[in-house]
Amino acid sequence: MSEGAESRVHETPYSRLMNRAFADAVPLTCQIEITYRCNHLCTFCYNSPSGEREMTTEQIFDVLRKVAEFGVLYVTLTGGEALCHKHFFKIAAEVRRLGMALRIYSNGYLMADKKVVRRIKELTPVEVEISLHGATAETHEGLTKIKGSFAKTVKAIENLNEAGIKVNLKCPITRLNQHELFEIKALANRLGRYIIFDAVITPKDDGDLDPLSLRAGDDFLEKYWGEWYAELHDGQSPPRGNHCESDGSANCGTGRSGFTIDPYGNLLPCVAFRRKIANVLEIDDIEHVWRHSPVANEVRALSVEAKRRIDALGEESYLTGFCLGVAETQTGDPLAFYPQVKVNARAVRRSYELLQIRGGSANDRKSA
Amino acid sequence: MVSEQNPLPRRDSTMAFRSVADEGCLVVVPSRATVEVLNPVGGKIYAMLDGKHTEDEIVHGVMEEFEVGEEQARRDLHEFVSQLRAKGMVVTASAAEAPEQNR
Repeated sequence: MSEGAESRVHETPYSRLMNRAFADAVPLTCQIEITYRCNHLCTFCYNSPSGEREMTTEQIFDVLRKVAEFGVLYVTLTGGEALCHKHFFKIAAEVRRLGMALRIYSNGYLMADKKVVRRIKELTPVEVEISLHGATAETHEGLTKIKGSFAKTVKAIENLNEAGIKVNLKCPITRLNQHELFEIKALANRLGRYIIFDAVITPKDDGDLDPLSLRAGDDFLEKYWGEWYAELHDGQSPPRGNHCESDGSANCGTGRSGFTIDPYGNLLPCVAFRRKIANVLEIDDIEHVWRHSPVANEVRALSVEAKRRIDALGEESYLTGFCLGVAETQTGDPLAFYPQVKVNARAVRRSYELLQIRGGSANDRKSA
Repeated sequence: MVSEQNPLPRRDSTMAFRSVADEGCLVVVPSRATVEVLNPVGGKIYAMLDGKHTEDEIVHGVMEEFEVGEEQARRDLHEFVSQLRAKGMVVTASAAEAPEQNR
Protein backbone atom coordinates (compact mmCIF):
# COMPACT_ATOMS: atom_id res chain seq x y z
CA MET A 1 0.00 0.00 0.00
CA SER A 2 1.26 3.48 -0.77
CA GLU A 3 2.14 5.89 2.00
CA GLY A 4 -0.93 7.89 1.11
CA ALA A 5 -3.30 4.99 1.59
CA GLU A 6 -1.72 3.64 4.74
CA SER A 7 -3.54 5.91 7.15
CA ARG A 8 -6.71 6.75 5.32
CA VAL A 9 -9.11 5.24 7.77
CA HIS A 10 -8.11 5.92 11.35
CA GLU A 11 -8.90 8.24 14.22
CA THR A 12 -5.71 9.83 15.51
CA PRO A 13 -5.48 12.83 13.10
CA TYR A 14 -8.86 14.09 14.32
CA SER A 15 -7.40 16.81 16.51
CA ARG A 16 -5.13 17.94 13.67
CA LEU A 17 -8.13 18.51 11.43
CA MET A 18 -10.07 20.21 14.18
CA ASN A 19 -7.16 22.53 14.93
CA ARG A 20 -6.84 23.39 11.26
CA ALA A 21 -10.57 24.12 11.03
CA PHE A 22 -10.30 26.25 14.18
CA ALA A 23 -7.30 28.19 12.89
CA ASP A 24 -8.97 28.85 9.53
CA ALA A 25 -12.33 29.68 11.18
CA VAL A 26 -14.00 26.89 9.23
CA PRO A 27 -17.21 26.26 11.19
CA LEU A 28 -18.14 22.59 11.44
CA THR A 29 -21.20 23.06 13.62
CA CYS A 30 -24.37 25.12 13.44
CA GLN A 31 -26.91 25.41 16.22
CA ILE A 32 -30.35 26.42 14.99
CA GLU A 33 -32.97 27.62 17.46
CA ILE A 34 -36.00 26.67 15.40
CA THR A 35 -38.49 28.10 17.89
CA TYR A 36 -38.61 29.78 21.28
CA ARG A 37 -41.77 27.85 22.12
CA CYS A 38 -41.26 25.49 25.02
CA ASN A 39 -43.28 23.12 27.17
CA HIS A 40 -41.19 23.97 30.26
CA LEU A 41 -40.97 27.19 32.27
CA CYS A 42 -37.37 27.01 33.51
CA THR A 43 -36.70 30.16 35.47
CA PHE A 44 -33.01 30.23 34.59
CA CYS A 45 -33.59 29.96 30.81
CA TYR A 46 -31.50 32.45 28.82
CA ASN A 47 -33.90 32.74 25.86
CA SER A 48 -35.34 36.21 25.32
CA PRO A 49 -38.03 36.14 22.62
CA SER A 50 -38.29 39.60 21.05
CA GLY A 51 -41.86 39.22 19.86
CA GLU A 52 -40.82 39.22 16.20
CA ARG A 53 -42.34 36.63 13.90
CA GLU A 54 -40.35 33.41 13.94
CA MET A 55 -39.17 31.87 10.67
CA THR A 56 -41.67 29.80 8.75
CA THR A 57 -40.79 26.20 7.98
CA GLU A 58 -40.04 27.19 4.37
CA GLN A 59 -37.68 29.88 5.61
CA ILE A 60 -35.97 27.37 7.88
CA PHE A 61 -35.52 25.12 4.83
CA ASP A 62 -33.93 28.08 3.01
CA VAL A 63 -31.58 28.63 5.95
CA LEU A 64 -30.66 24.94 6.04
CA ARG A 65 -29.83 24.98 2.33
CA LYS A 66 -27.46 27.91 2.85
CA VAL A 67 -25.91 26.23 5.90
CA ALA A 68 -25.31 23.06 3.86
CA GLU A 69 -23.81 25.07 0.99
CA PHE A 70 -21.46 26.66 3.52
CA GLY A 71 -20.19 23.13 4.27
CA VAL A 72 -21.31 22.68 7.87
CA LEU A 73 -20.96 19.11 9.16
CA TYR A 74 -23.23 19.08 12.24
CA VAL A 75 -26.56 20.82 12.73
CA THR A 76 -27.99 20.97 16.24
CA LEU A 77 -31.71 21.61 16.44
CA THR A 78 -32.65 23.38 19.63
CA GLY A 79 -35.04 26.00 20.96
CA GLY A 80 -36.91 26.74 23.16
CA GLU A 81 -37.84 23.12 22.91
CA ALA A 82 -37.10 21.96 19.37
CA LEU A 83 -39.79 19.29 19.47
CA CYS A 84 -42.43 21.94 20.15
CA HIS A 85 -42.04 23.13 16.56
CA LYS A 86 -45.00 21.70 14.69
CA HIS A 87 -42.77 20.69 11.77
CA PHE A 88 -39.80 19.45 13.82
CA PHE A 89 -39.62 16.13 11.99
CA LYS A 90 -39.79 17.73 8.55
CA ILE A 91 -37.00 20.12 9.51
CA ALA A 92 -34.85 17.36 11.01
CA ALA A 93 -35.38 15.20 7.92
CA GLU A 94 -34.28 18.12 5.75
CA VAL A 95 -31.05 18.40 7.76
CA ARG A 96 -30.33 14.77 6.97
CA ARG A 97 -31.44 15.03 3.34
CA LEU A 98 -28.92 17.82 2.86
CA GLY A 99 -26.19 15.48 4.08
CA MET A 100 -25.51 17.04 7.48
CA ALA A 101 -25.22 15.17 10.78
CA LEU A 102 -28.04 15.83 13.24
CA ARG A 103 -27.91 16.60 16.95
CA ILE A 104 -30.99 17.37 19.01
CA TYR A 105 -31.06 19.35 22.25
CA SER A 106 -34.24 18.69 24.20
CA ASN A 107 -35.81 18.55 27.63
CA GLY A 108 -37.00 15.06 26.70
CA TYR A 109 -40.59 15.66 27.74
CA LEU A 110 -42.15 14.59 24.44
CA MET A 111 -39.75 11.67 24.03
CA ALA A 112 -41.49 9.82 26.85
CA ASP A 113 -43.72 8.68 23.99
CA LYS A 114 -42.09 5.70 22.26
CA LYS A 115 -43.70 6.63 18.95
CA VAL A 116 -41.80 9.94 19.02
CA VAL A 117 -38.54 8.12 19.74
CA ARG A 118 -39.16 5.71 16.87
CA ARG A 119 -39.47 8.70 14.52
CA ILE A 120 -36.27 10.19 15.95
CA LYS A 121 -34.48 6.88 15.40
CA GLU A 122 -35.45 7.05 11.72
CA LEU A 123 -33.58 10.36 11.47
CA THR A 124 -30.33 8.62 12.55
CA PRO A 125 -29.19 11.46 14.81
CA VAL A 126 -25.61 11.39 16.02
CA GLU A 127 -26.82 12.16 19.51
CA VAL A 128 -29.62 13.58 21.60
CA GLU A 129 -28.76 15.81 24.53
CA ILE A 130 -31.24 15.88 27.39
CA SER A 131 -31.37 18.26 30.34
CA LEU A 132 -31.81 16.64 33.75
CA HIS A 133 -32.27 19.07 36.63
CA GLY A 134 -32.63 16.82 39.63
CA ALA A 135 -32.57 13.31 41.02
CA THR A 136 -36.13 13.68 42.31
CA ALA A 137 -39.36 15.01 40.88
CA GLU A 138 -39.42 17.70 43.54
CA THR A 139 -36.06 19.16 42.51
CA HIS A 140 -36.39 18.69 38.75
CA GLU A 141 -39.87 20.12 38.65
CA GLY A 142 -38.90 22.92 41.02
CA LEU A 143 -36.80 24.19 38.13
CA THR A 144 -38.93 23.22 35.12
CA LYS A 145 -42.18 24.27 36.84
CA ILE A 146 -44.00 21.46 35.03
CA LYS A 147 -45.60 18.72 37.11
CA GLY A 148 -44.78 15.27 35.81
CA SER A 149 -41.76 16.46 33.81
CA PHE A 150 -39.24 14.45 35.85
CA ALA A 151 -40.89 11.09 35.17
CA LYS A 152 -41.25 11.96 31.49
CA THR A 153 -37.62 13.01 31.13
CA VAL A 154 -36.38 9.82 32.79
CA LYS A 155 -38.72 7.77 30.61
CA ALA A 156 -37.40 9.59 27.54
CA ILE A 157 -33.83 8.65 28.40
CA GLU A 158 -34.88 5.03 28.87
CA ASN A 159 -36.72 5.09 25.54
CA LEU A 160 -33.72 6.56 23.73
CA ASN A 161 -31.47 3.95 25.34
CA GLU A 162 -33.80 1.19 24.24
CA ALA A 163 -33.77 2.56 20.69
CA GLY A 164 -29.96 2.54 20.66
CA ILE A 165 -29.66 6.30 20.27
CA LYS A 166 -26.65 7.98 21.86
CA VAL A 167 -27.75 10.22 24.71
CA ASN A 168 -25.76 12.85 26.57
CA LEU A 169 -27.13 14.34 29.74
CA LYS A 170 -26.47 17.81 31.05
CA CYS A 171 -27.36 19.50 34.29
CA PRO A 172 -27.09 23.22 34.92
CA ILE A 173 -26.17 23.63 38.58
CA THR A 174 -28.43 25.97 40.53
CA ARG A 175 -29.21 26.72 44.16
CA LEU A 176 -32.19 24.40 43.83
CA ASN A 177 -30.30 21.25 42.80
CA GLN A 178 -26.79 21.80 44.21
CA HIS A 179 -27.61 19.62 47.21
CA GLU A 180 -28.19 16.47 45.18
CA LEU A 181 -25.52 16.45 42.47
CA PHE A 182 -24.22 13.06 43.60
CA GLU A 183 -27.74 11.64 43.46
CA ILE A 184 -28.13 13.10 39.95
CA LYS A 185 -24.82 11.50 39.00
CA ALA A 186 -26.03 8.18 40.44
CA LEU A 187 -29.25 8.47 38.43
CA ALA A 188 -27.27 9.13 35.27
CA ASN A 189 -25.11 6.10 36.03
CA ARG A 190 -28.21 3.99 36.55
CA LEU A 191 -29.46 5.19 33.17
CA GLY A 192 -26.07 4.29 31.69
CA ARG A 193 -25.30 7.81 30.52
CA TYR A 194 -22.58 10.37 31.16
CA ILE A 195 -23.75 13.66 32.60
CA ILE A 196 -22.09 17.02 32.23
CA PHE A 197 -22.64 19.48 35.05
CA ASP A 198 -22.56 23.13 34.11
CA ALA A 199 -21.78 25.54 36.93
CA VAL A 200 -22.34 28.64 34.81
CA ILE A 201 -25.78 30.20 34.91
CA THR A 202 -25.91 33.05 32.42
CA PRO A 203 -28.02 36.19 32.22
CA LYS A 204 -30.85 36.20 29.71
CA ASP A 205 -29.91 37.08 26.16
CA ASP A 206 -31.49 40.52 26.58
CA GLY A 207 -29.30 41.28 29.60
CA ASP A 208 -31.89 40.46 32.27
CA LEU A 209 -29.88 39.30 35.28
CA ASP A 210 -32.74 37.44 37.00
CA PRO A 211 -31.39 33.94 36.24
CA LEU A 212 -28.26 34.77 38.25
CA SER A 213 -30.32 34.72 41.42
CA LEU A 214 -30.48 30.93 40.99
CA ARG A 215 -26.72 30.60 40.75
CA ALA A 216 -25.14 28.19 43.22
CA GLY A 217 -23.42 29.81 46.17
CA ASP A 218 -19.70 30.60 46.23
CA ASP A 219 -19.00 28.18 49.09
CA PHE A 220 -20.67 25.41 47.16
CA LEU A 221 -18.79 26.25 43.95
CA GLU A 222 -15.43 26.07 45.75
CA LYS A 223 -16.26 22.54 46.90
CA TYR A 224 -17.65 21.62 43.48
CA TRP A 225 -14.50 22.62 41.59
CA GLY A 226 -12.21 21.30 44.28
CA GLU A 227 -13.35 18.27 46.25
CA TRP A 228 -16.19 17.02 44.11
CA TYR A 229 -15.39 17.72 40.46
CA ALA A 230 -13.41 14.56 39.72
CA GLU A 231 -15.96 12.29 41.36
CA LEU A 232 -18.80 13.90 39.47
CA HIS A 233 -16.94 13.67 36.16
CA ASP A 234 -15.56 10.15 36.19
CA GLY A 235 -12.12 11.20 37.40
CA GLN A 236 -11.58 14.17 35.11
CA SER A 237 -9.73 17.22 36.41
CA PRO A 238 -11.52 20.56 36.24
CA PRO A 239 -10.82 22.35 32.96
CA ARG A 240 -8.39 25.24 33.18
CA GLY A 241 -9.76 26.98 30.13
CA ASN A 242 -12.93 27.38 28.15
CA HIS A 243 -14.54 24.07 27.22
CA CYS A 244 -14.60 24.95 23.51
CA GLU A 245 -11.01 26.15 23.35
CA SER A 246 -9.27 24.27 20.59
CA ASP A 247 -5.81 25.08 19.31
CA GLY A 248 -4.93 27.52 22.07
CA SER A 249 -4.90 30.59 19.85
CA ALA A 250 -8.22 31.96 21.10
CA ASN A 251 -10.33 31.78 24.25
CA CYS A 252 -13.09 29.79 22.58
CA GLY A 253 -14.68 28.91 19.29
CA THR A 254 -16.99 31.89 19.02
CA GLY A 255 -17.14 33.10 15.43
CA ARG A 256 -14.78 30.33 14.52
CA SER A 257 -15.70 26.68 15.08
CA GLY A 258 -19.45 27.10 14.80
CA PHE A 259 -22.31 29.56 14.80
CA THR A 260 -25.90 29.94 15.94
CA ILE A 261 -29.04 30.97 14.09
CA ASP A 262 -31.95 32.26 16.17
CA PRO A 263 -35.67 31.74 15.39
CA TYR A 264 -35.71 35.00 13.41
CA GLY A 265 -32.91 33.91 11.09
CA ASN A 266 -30.18 36.00 12.71
CA LEU A 267 -26.67 34.63 12.32
CA LEU A 268 -24.76 34.86 15.63
CA PRO A 269 -21.10 34.01 16.45
CA CYS A 270 -22.22 31.40 19.00
CA VAL A 271 -25.09 30.61 21.33
CA ALA A 272 -23.73 32.83 24.10
CA PHE A 273 -22.19 35.77 22.21
CA ARG A 274 -25.25 37.10 20.43
CA ARG A 275 -23.95 39.91 18.28
CA LYS A 276 -25.85 39.84 15.01
CA ILE A 277 -23.59 39.14 12.03
CA ALA A 278 -26.39 39.12 9.45
CA ASN A 279 -29.86 37.74 8.83
CA VAL A 280 -29.49 34.54 6.84
CA LEU A 281 -32.82 35.15 5.10
CA GLU A 282 -31.41 38.37 3.63
CA ILE A 283 -28.15 37.02 2.26
CA ASP A 284 -27.32 34.55 -0.51
CA ASP A 285 -24.04 33.23 0.78
CA ILE A 286 -23.13 32.66 4.44
CA GLU A 287 -19.45 32.07 3.67
CA HIS A 288 -18.90 35.55 2.22
CA VAL A 289 -20.52 37.19 5.24
CA TRP A 290 -18.68 34.92 7.67
CA ARG A 291 -15.33 35.86 6.15
CA HIS A 292 -15.90 39.57 5.64
CA SER A 293 -18.38 40.72 8.27
CA PRO A 294 -16.80 43.33 10.58
CA VAL A 295 -18.83 41.82 13.44
CA ALA A 296 -17.51 38.30 12.85
CA ASN A 297 -13.95 39.55 12.49
CA GLU A 298 -14.22 41.63 15.65
CA VAL A 299 -15.61 38.68 17.62
CA ARG A 300 -12.74 36.46 16.47
CA ALA A 301 -10.24 39.16 17.41
CA LEU A 302 -11.88 39.60 20.82
CA SER A 303 -11.56 35.88 21.52
CA VAL A 304 -7.85 36.02 20.67
CA GLU A 305 -7.44 39.07 22.90
CA ALA A 306 -9.30 37.35 25.75
CA LYS A 307 -6.92 34.42 25.49
CA ARG A 308 -3.93 36.78 25.54
CA ARG A 309 -5.22 38.54 28.65
CA ILE A 310 -5.94 35.27 30.45
CA ASP A 311 -2.50 33.88 29.61
CA ALA A 312 -0.95 37.12 30.87
CA LEU A 313 -2.38 36.39 34.30
CA GLY A 314 0.21 33.63 34.67
CA GLU A 315 -0.49 31.77 37.90
CA GLU A 316 -3.95 33.28 38.03
CA SER A 317 -4.96 31.99 34.60
CA TYR A 318 -7.49 29.44 35.76
CA LEU A 319 -10.44 31.22 34.19
CA THR A 320 -12.54 28.14 33.64
CA GLY A 321 -15.30 28.81 31.19
CA PHE A 322 -14.65 32.50 30.60
CA CYS A 323 -17.33 33.52 28.12
CA LEU A 324 -17.19 36.72 26.11
CA GLY A 325 -20.94 36.63 25.65
CA VAL A 326 -21.64 36.44 29.38
CA ALA A 327 -19.08 39.17 29.99
CA GLU A 328 -20.72 41.48 27.47
CA THR A 329 -24.27 40.77 28.65
CA GLN A 330 -23.37 41.17 32.29
CA THR A 331 -20.85 43.99 32.26
CA GLY A 332 -21.07 45.60 28.82
CA ASP A 333 -17.45 44.65 28.17
CA PRO A 334 -16.78 41.28 26.45
CA LEU A 335 -13.28 41.21 27.92
CA ALA A 336 -14.22 41.93 31.53
CA PHE A 337 -13.65 39.16 34.07
CA TYR A 338 -17.10 38.99 35.63
CA PRO A 339 -17.63 37.87 39.24
CA GLN A 340 -18.69 34.23 38.65
CA VAL A 341 -15.67 33.43 36.52
CA LYS A 342 -13.35 34.85 39.19
CA VAL A 343 -14.93 32.64 41.86
CA ASN A 344 -14.60 29.61 39.61
CA ALA A 345 -10.99 30.50 38.79
CA ARG A 346 -10.03 30.74 42.47
CA ALA A 347 -11.64 27.38 43.19
CA VAL A 348 -10.06 25.62 40.22
CA ARG A 349 -6.67 27.05 41.12
CA ARG A 350 -7.02 25.80 44.69
CA SER A 351 -8.02 22.41 43.33
CA TYR A 352 -4.85 22.19 41.23
CA GLU A 353 -2.70 23.34 44.14
CA LEU A 354 -4.16 20.56 46.28
CA LEU A 355 -3.47 18.04 43.55
CA GLN A 356 0.15 19.17 43.35
CA ILE A 357 0.51 18.74 47.09
CA ARG A 358 -0.92 15.24 46.74
CA GLY A 359 1.48 14.61 43.84
CA GLY A 360 -0.94 13.56 41.17
CA SER A 361 -3.79 14.46 38.92
CA ALA A 362 -7.46 13.95 39.52
CA ASN A 363 -7.28 11.07 37.09
CA ASP A 364 -4.52 9.45 39.15
CA ARG A 365 -6.66 9.89 42.22
CA LYS A 366 -9.48 7.95 40.64
CA SER A 367 -7.39 5.05 39.43
CA ALA A 368 -5.70 4.82 42.84
CA MET B 1 -12.20 -5.97 -4.35
CA VAL B 2 -13.96 -4.12 -7.15
CA SER B 3 -15.06 -6.30 -10.06
CA GLU B 4 -17.95 -6.74 -12.45
CA GLN B 5 -19.64 -8.98 -9.89
CA ASN B 6 -18.73 -6.68 -7.04
CA PRO B 7 -19.01 -3.17 -8.49
CA LEU B 8 -17.81 0.07 -7.00
CA PRO B 9 -19.99 1.00 -4.02
CA ARG B 10 -21.04 4.54 -3.19
CA ARG B 11 -20.72 6.39 0.05
CA ASP B 12 -23.58 6.05 2.49
CA SER B 13 -25.69 9.19 2.13
CA THR B 14 -26.65 9.08 5.83
CA MET B 15 -23.05 9.96 6.69
CA ALA B 16 -22.16 13.64 6.66
CA PHE B 17 -18.66 14.40 5.45
CA ARG B 18 -16.52 17.46 5.01
CA SER B 19 -13.04 18.22 3.75
CA VAL B 20 -10.94 20.58 5.87
CA ALA B 21 -8.50 22.57 3.74
CA ASP B 22 -5.84 20.15 2.46
CA GLU B 23 -5.66 18.23 5.74
CA GLY B 24 -8.22 15.53 5.05
CA CYS B 25 -11.84 14.74 5.58
CA LEU B 26 -14.21 14.11 8.51
CA VAL B 27 -16.99 11.57 8.11
CA VAL B 28 -19.74 11.33 10.74
CA VAL B 29 -21.07 7.79 11.21
CA PRO B 30 -24.42 8.22 13.00
CA SER B 31 -25.03 4.51 13.62
CA ARG B 32 -21.85 4.37 15.70
CA ALA B 33 -21.99 8.01 16.84
CA THR B 34 -18.36 8.35 15.81
CA VAL B 35 -16.27 10.44 13.45
CA GLU B 36 -13.84 8.82 11.03
CA VAL B 37 -10.89 10.79 9.74
CA LEU B 38 -9.67 10.27 6.20
CA ASN B 39 -6.39 11.58 4.85
CA PRO B 40 -6.48 13.76 1.72
CA VAL B 41 -6.25 10.80 -0.69
CA GLY B 42 -9.00 8.96 1.17
CA GLY B 43 -11.09 12.12 1.24
CA LYS B 44 -10.70 12.53 -2.52
CA ILE B 45 -11.80 8.95 -3.17
CA TYR B 46 -14.67 9.15 -0.69
CA ALA B 47 -15.97 12.34 -2.30
CA MET B 48 -15.92 10.65 -5.72
CA LEU B 49 -17.73 7.53 -4.50
CA ASP B 50 -21.03 9.19 -5.36
CA GLY B 51 -22.42 6.57 -7.70
CA LYS B 52 -21.70 8.81 -10.67
CA HIS B 53 -17.94 8.46 -11.09
CA THR B 54 -16.51 5.31 -12.61
CA GLU B 55 -13.50 3.46 -11.24
CA ASP B 56 -11.31 4.87 -14.00
CA GLU B 57 -12.44 8.40 -13.28
CA ILE B 58 -11.61 8.00 -9.59
CA VAL B 59 -8.22 6.49 -10.36
CA HIS B 60 -7.40 9.37 -12.71
CA GLY B 61 -8.70 11.88 -10.18
CA VAL B 62 -6.26 10.50 -7.60
CA MET B 63 -3.40 10.38 -10.13
CA GLU B 64 -3.91 14.02 -11.09
CA GLU B 65 -4.12 15.36 -7.57
CA PHE B 66 -1.55 13.26 -5.77
CA GLU B 67 1.00 12.39 -8.46
CA VAL B 68 0.91 8.60 -8.16
CA GLY B 69 1.01 6.05 -10.98
CA GLU B 70 -2.10 4.33 -12.28
CA GLU B 71 -1.24 0.92 -10.88
CA GLN B 72 -0.65 2.33 -7.42
CA ALA B 73 -3.78 4.51 -7.52
CA ARG B 74 -5.95 1.55 -8.55
CA ARG B 75 -4.49 -0.69 -5.87
CA ASP B 76 -5.05 2.00 -3.27
CA LEU B 77 -8.63 2.49 -4.41
CA HIS B 78 -9.38 -1.22 -4.04
CA GLU B 79 -7.77 -1.44 -0.61
CA PHE B 80 -9.54 1.69 0.54
CA VAL B 81 -12.93 0.48 -0.67
CA SER B 82 -12.36 -2.76 1.26
CA GLN B 83 -11.68 -0.74 4.40
CA LEU B 84 -14.78 1.36 3.84
CA ARG B 85 -16.87 -1.78 3.35
CA ALA B 86 -15.51 -3.28 6.56
CA LYS B 87 -16.47 -0.12 8.43
CA GLY B 88 -19.92 0.01 6.88
CA MET B 89 -19.23 3.40 5.33
CA VAL B 90 -20.39 2.55 1.79
CA VAL B 91 -23.42 0.88 0.29
CA THR B 92 -23.76 -1.09 -2.90
CA ALA B 93 -24.63 1.22 -5.78
CA SER B 94 -28.01 -0.39 -6.35
CA ALA B 95 -29.02 0.12 -2.72
CA ALA B 96 -28.22 3.82 -2.82
CA GLU B 97 -30.97 5.90 -4.30
CA ALA B 98 -31.21 9.09 -2.31
CA PRO B 99 -29.74 12.10 -4.11
CA GLU B 100 -27.06 14.03 -2.27
CA GLN B 101 -24.95 17.05 -2.85
CA ASN B 102 -21.21 17.21 -3.19
CA ARG B 103 -19.63 18.94 -0.22
